[in-house]
Amino acid sequence: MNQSLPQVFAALGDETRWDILTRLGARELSASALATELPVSRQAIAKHLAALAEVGLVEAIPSGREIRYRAIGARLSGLATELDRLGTQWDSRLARIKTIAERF
Amino acid sequence: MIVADLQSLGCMSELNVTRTVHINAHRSAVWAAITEPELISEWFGDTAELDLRVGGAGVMGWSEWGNFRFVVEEIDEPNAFAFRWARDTDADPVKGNSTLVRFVLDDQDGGTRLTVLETGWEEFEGDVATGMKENSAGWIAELDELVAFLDKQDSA
Repeated sequence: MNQSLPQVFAALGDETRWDILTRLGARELSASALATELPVSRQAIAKHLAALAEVGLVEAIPSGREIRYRAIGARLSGLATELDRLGTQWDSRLARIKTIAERF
Repeated sequence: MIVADLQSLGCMSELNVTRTVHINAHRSAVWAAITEPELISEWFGDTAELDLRVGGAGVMGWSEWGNFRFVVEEIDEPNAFAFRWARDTDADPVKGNSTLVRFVLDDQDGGTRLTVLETGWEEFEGDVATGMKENSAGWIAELDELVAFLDKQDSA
């Protein structure tokens, strides 16, 4: 991942962006098409797309006269892996806390 | 595939990491393990300092990654303990650069059930220009490897 995990989480910490990403995960869409599907202005959609693109979650695909966007699958798999790591870290820490508490 | 990944992640705006362990010890022993600096340094960091009061400051140090500051947010002995932990070295933890870690202790089968909940990822500043270091994911990964290594040593 070329951006830090928190920045990716921050980019996703917004329901509209989450909606956009979910839709782009199903199929490539332009900002205008997204604006007709979501109760948000095209300008707002463009801002959200820029935020998602900045952390590498979506990419722009020129298609004729319009620009479509698609979700980057590898990026999301990587994110799922990182989340797993966070949980695994706590499993390890809790196991160590258990060892410490049980020797009292 | 992408849709499956999204579903496995759930909604980020409610992102948290939670884990539970059963400990064959009284709650007071578990309380000591998670709040006494000399014991904290056995499971979290190489060194730990802590002013155990709400608003009290603490520092966890890793020889390899530096010092990370935290601040106590809740003390309810022996039921709950929470602290906010900066994910940048030598930075005071505030919303936007830190996560909140909350431990809850319950009696369970003559021992203690310890639950940890880490939240606040979604509060991180999304703008790279805020000066957030980009190595967080890196050191998280490295730390994970270290813990796995140490655990292997322990069980060997």
